[in-house]
Amino acid sequence: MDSKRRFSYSNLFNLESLMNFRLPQQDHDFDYYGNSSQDESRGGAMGGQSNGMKSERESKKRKQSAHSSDEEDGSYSPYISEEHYRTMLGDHIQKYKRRLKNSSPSPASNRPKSSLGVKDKKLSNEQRGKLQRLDPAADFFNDSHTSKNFRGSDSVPKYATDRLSKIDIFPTTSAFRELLVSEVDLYCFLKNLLLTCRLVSEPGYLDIGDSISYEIPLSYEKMAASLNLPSVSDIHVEEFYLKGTLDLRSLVEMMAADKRFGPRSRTGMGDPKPQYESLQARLKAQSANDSAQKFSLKVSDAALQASLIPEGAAGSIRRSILSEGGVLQVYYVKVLEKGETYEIIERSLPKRQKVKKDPSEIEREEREKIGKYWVSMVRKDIPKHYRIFTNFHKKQLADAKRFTEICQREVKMKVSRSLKLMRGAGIRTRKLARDMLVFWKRVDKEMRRETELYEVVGWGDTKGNCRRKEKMTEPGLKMYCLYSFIANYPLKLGDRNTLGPKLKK
Amino acid sequence: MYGGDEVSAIVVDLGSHTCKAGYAGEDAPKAVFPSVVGSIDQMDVDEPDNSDKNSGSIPDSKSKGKRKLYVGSQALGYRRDHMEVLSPIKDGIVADWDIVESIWDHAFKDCLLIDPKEHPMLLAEPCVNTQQQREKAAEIMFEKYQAPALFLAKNAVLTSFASGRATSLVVDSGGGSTTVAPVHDGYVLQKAVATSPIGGELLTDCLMKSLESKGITIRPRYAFKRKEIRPGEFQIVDLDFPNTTESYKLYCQRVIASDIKECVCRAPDTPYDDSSYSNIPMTPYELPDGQTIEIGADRFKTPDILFNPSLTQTIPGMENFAETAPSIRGLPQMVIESINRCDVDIRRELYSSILLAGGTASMQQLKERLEKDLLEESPQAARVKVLASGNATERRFSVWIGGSILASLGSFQQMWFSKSEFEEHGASYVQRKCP
Repeated sequence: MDSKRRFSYSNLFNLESLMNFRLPQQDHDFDYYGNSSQDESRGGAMGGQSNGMKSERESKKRKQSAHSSDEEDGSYSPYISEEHYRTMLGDHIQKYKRRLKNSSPSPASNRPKSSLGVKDKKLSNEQRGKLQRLDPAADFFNDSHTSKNFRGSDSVPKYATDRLSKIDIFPTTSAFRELLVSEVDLYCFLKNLLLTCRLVSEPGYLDIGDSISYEIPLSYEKMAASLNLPSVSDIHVEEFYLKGTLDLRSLVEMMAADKRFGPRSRTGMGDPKPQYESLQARLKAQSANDSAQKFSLKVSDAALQASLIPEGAAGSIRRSILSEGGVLQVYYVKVLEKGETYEIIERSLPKRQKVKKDPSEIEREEREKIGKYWVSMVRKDIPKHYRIFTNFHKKQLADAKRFTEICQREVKMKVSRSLKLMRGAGIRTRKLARDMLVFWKRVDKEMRRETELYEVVGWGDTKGNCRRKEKMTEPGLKMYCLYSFIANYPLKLGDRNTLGPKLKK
Repeated sequence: MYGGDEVSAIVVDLGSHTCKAGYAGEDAPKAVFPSVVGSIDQMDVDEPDNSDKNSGSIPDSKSKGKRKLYVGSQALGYRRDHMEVLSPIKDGIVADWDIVESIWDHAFKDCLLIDPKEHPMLLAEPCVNTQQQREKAAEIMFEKYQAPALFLAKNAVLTSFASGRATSLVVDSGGGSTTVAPVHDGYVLQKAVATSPIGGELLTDCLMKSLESKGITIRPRYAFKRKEIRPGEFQIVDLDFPNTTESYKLYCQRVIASDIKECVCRAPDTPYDDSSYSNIPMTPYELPDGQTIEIGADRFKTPDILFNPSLTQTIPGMENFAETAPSIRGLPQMVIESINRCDVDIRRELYSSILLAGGTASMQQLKERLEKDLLEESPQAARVKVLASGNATERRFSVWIGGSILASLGSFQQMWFSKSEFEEHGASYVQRKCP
């Protein structure tokens, strides 16, 4: 099996299940299952080997496919004739239709029951003790076969069963199967099958007696969305193939034709997502895969998801979403799966290709931008700045002026005060001198009167009397000298010769 | 994009006569020094003399290849044997990038004492700068100086910004040339730019030649020695340095002559003619060697060359220039021609905002004279208004001041041409970033 193939969608529809599907037949039953089981175990082993290392999704896929074949192995072990089977199917459809008319039970309530039944079977089956999971996706193929069978019985064209029998005709050697699995995508075949099994719209389950029940999963249309598969409308099959019988050659032809339409049917299954971003990446992965131990380390889920998805996308799922403006735009979305439905939790536009501009264009734009800024700055800021500056300058000038005025006033006041003092000095000394004269006159007068009195009394010029006289005149003389010195007033009184040196000092 | 920093930008205006450099946001440049450099070919000099080492001007010098360059007024003020004086600028654009580098070095390391790695640089460039020149400037700034960001702005635009206008007609009369450039919305209208080679240096030469013809020789400071014979009495002793180059002598004479010009010259109110100015009172000026000269008609004749270039023909010694003089138009004609080459819609606005800038524009009465001449020659409808800052310093440094304003604008900070952009897109990106 080509390692590259493992991750393609074709793997989802593991051929084993198809191969193993057959209407109950007695002949070489054992041999066939033996082969298939061998095949299975090989596939299972491979799955197991990569289980730990490969992405969960991958291993899940493997498990599912393994399971579907397993289940078939189990479910067909008791012998049921074709007639019996068809009548049972018919019955089931009747029942199912009736149930639809009433109220369809939720698939969740159905599931555990069926899975239990199947599990029992499996445990009894000695094929493998592997834990099997049962979910609608896994059962899808089984279901499609059964419903197809049922339709075949319902007088619809018998090509489906025809084809199945054709497949039986193919040599069932393991080599051939491997060829089918690896080289030939059987998806077209599946497409045909799916076209016929659109009938069932609600999961129900099919009881074919002997406590064997099949869960009928959701219709393909509903499942497709959750499984990230193309919708039926995307599947193109030539009319020619629908009418004729399908053999290997026509199958190959059909696939080739589909591949040619590759780009047109982008969302179709015929165009599996490229897993590698470039040839180099692919070569790298392949070289890594050369050694069996390494390969699963190299190809990661992230790498798988990264394929085809532009940078900056929210998720790996591509959806066309009608925007509010009415434009259909492709988004890459991140999806939160909620059972059968999903919710887009994040979306983003694929990164746009950077518009490459002509350098001259860029230069022109840049020049314009700078020029515009320059002009606006020059027009607004320069005059504004100038205004502010001139205002500031004016204010500074005014401040300086006021300051000088205040200083001037202060100085003037001091000067005028001192001038006034100087001018007043003469007047003041003259007044002082006058006062002095008046004082002396009075003193003289008093003295004269006193001497007269003494003479009258008869005391005469005694020693004590002289001293008293001296005492009275001395301070007055001293004071007079002092004032005359200060006012530079010419001395008129007393002995100049005796006072002169004193003043000089 | 360079977001700007807390550190202030450095604004450098390398003119043909003076280099102005300083911090953005200030009102005047910190460093102002001559744009010319002294150069000594190392082949000629075996050993620099001892006096050279003692002079302390060595830090200003810079060895470049085979020649040694001396930058800054101090280094140039010292006379050296065989030192030629070279200018990096010819006809308004840079011709020698080595000299420019040495000037920038001097500005950053000796004058401003900054690390160019830390400051964004705003360079003023002439209006007629070529693409190659701008790219070369960007390369040097980013590769040699590792500047974090750069911006190149046109002189005229910066002058316009200095007076807070987005649209104006800038009359920039500098050292080497006079340029009339209309600025509209911060862009120079290249087609209407008019230039003439008449600048301050030509006027200085004219004055010098004119004085020489009257028997006055200007002795450079290095050529004599003053000796005090008696207290208060000096004797001049001539010194002879045979190895002094002619260009250095001329440079020193020009320094003195330009000072005379700045002190005494005044634009005449009416076109100059010899007869009416023959009896003009003389103005005294004391030369460095102590002799006092009297300047008469030359006071008015020299500035009038701006208005009437053919006057140079009457000055002996200016013959080589006089040949080309008739083809050069006077200032008012240049202004009117430039305005007429602009769109009709903006002419009115241009007439009403004629900005006078540059060192020569700080000449006394120049504004009044230009306004008067323009009023006579302009269309009737135009309302002519010549604007010039009353402050001579502001007129001289208007380009630098405009740069200072621009670089300190908050909204300008995202316009810088950053180093990372240079590394990503190359030098040619400067054309895109700096309009």
